[in-house]
Amino acid sequence: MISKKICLVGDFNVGKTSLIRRFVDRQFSDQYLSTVGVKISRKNVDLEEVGGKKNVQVQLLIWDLEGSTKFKAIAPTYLQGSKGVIIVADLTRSETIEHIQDHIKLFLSMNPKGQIIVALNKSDLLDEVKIAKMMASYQLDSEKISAIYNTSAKTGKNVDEIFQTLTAKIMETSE
Amino acid sequence: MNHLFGKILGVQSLEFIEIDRKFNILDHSPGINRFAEHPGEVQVGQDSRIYFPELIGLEDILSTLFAGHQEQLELMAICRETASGEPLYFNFYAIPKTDELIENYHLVIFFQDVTQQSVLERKYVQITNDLTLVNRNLSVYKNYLQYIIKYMADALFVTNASGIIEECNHAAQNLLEISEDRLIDQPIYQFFKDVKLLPVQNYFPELLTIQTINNLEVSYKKPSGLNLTVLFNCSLIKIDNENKFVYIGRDITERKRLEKEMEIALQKERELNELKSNFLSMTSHEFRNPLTVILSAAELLQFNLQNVSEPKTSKYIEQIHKSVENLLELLDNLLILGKADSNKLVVQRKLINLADFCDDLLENLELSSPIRRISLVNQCEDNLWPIDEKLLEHILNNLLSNALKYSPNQTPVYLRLYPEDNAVCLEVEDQGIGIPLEDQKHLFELFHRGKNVGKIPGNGLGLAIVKKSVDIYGGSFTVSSQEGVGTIVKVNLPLT
Repeated sequence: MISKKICLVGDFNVGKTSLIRRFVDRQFSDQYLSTVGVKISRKNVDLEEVGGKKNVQVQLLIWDLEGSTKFKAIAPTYLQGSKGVIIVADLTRSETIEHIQDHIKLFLSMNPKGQIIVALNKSDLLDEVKIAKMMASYQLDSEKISAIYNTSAKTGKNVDEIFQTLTAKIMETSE
Repeated sequence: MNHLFGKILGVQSLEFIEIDRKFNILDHSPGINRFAEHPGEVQVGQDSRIYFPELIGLEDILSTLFAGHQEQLELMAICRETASGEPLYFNFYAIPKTDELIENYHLVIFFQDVTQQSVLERKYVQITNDLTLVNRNLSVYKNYLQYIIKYMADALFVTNASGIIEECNHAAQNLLEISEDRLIDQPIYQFFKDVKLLPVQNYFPELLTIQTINNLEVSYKKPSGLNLTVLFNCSLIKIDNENKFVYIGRDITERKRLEKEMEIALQKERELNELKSNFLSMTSHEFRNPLTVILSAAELLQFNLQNVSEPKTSKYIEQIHKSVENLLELLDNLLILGKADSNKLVVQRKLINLADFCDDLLENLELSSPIRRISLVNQCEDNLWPIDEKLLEHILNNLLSNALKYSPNQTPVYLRLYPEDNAVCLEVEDQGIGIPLEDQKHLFELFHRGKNVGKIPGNGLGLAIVKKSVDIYGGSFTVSSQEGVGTIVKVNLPLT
């Protein structure tokens, strides 16, 4: 089976660990526990078709990285060999969205050909109209980003989609 | 030996694996199993990535180590969940190892248990992140509150217990037309100069127990000179065990003005209602007198016709006749006043010959009086004059009737007409009973009659009609009268 390393990157308390837990274990907890260092999870993703091959199964090695703070940046070594990244931001904290570009820059410096998905998380805390306005107001570099999703680890909204889409993008470009 | 070897070999809790280029395990330390993802026997010859998933994806990097292009690879604080559910943290160091016999590089990967320090670090990071979030939320709420205070429409002042302003918002500065730097550290009562805003606990000691006092109405004069009325609510708050007073003020100048206007309008309406009621009562009274006379005379004639002498019959008929005349006059006068009040009387000037007009008028008036005693002095004979005939008729009829009625038959009555600037002046003079001084201030009140009129008939509407007619005309008139001497009324009627 093909194995691919991906990372989840973002500011602290944006919900990276919760997104992984929702995706891998189908669980969610409101309690915030900081991540230190990195935790690696595995999950198989089934793709219907990739480069003419049908029913491809990919093992994702998901690296949950310690969130960046103003006191501590993300260690670039964790990003080495990552085929894709999910940049996570918190829709209720504008500064986490403003930092997305910095995370993209760091990831591309380590993996110039890596795939990028942006997850604007905690969408359950805002109404749809406000989310739409916020999504429209942030100008992200769409050339480098494969897709932007508003997600909720709490409700599960778009959680599978971000991992599925990123895996498909990685496989398309690695063929 | 690589310097990193030296660094790490002195550290306890250290295990290793040795792998070849295909990542297969060549050797391992005895305690390596506790670092493997699925605890079990780590076996020589197996792919190391089965036990250590962090190697997946790092193949290219590890290849550079095999090739000697990179000295080492470090990954710090990798977290692995153990079978007991407790986290295991370890650092990972990959270092190339030259084996001259097989002329190849191997990799030695060391695993260092850093659980204790990582768990401590996680607690520290957790506290730091929680505090950062709390600070951020506090800052957001602080900004939110400041925004509300800054842009609220009502003026806000916060003073200390001595009334010294410590905070104020935009609306307060706009209300007072004074900038913030000239308000802060100044006593609030300096601006409002009102006893109600003296150090509040002196004026309202009860505030210390009831917390809030509403509707303190104070005056303020803006630097631009405009006078305002401001309504304050004052609340007591305790900050750090110190009393502070929050004043919320609203400009109610416009509301007060409207209230005053409404009060005046209501007062006017009350007066009008009273006037209307008085008018109805007086009118009824004026109608009742002649009607009573008519009724009495008619009854006497009806029931005693056989026994009443001819002179008495004539007298009763004459009384009926006079009473009916009085009623008709009263009705005419009321109709004129009614028209004037409902703005149906308007000035309609047309060119008339004043000499002819006066001749006709005097002839009609003197029909009822056998003695011709009105002397006309007309200086407006030559030309045609733009005059409203109807209004002039109301004015002269009433003035001349009064003059004739209230003066003895043998005394003259003068009517003088003369031009003056852009007007025609009329002057009616008699040598009659005059108007007592105390009645002169009631000249234009409806139904008011002088106390000296005796039995002279009249209804007290004549001068009111003259006043209304002159007002509609936009003219003026003066009355000078002395009781027992006579009266002169002068009317000025503008020509345009």
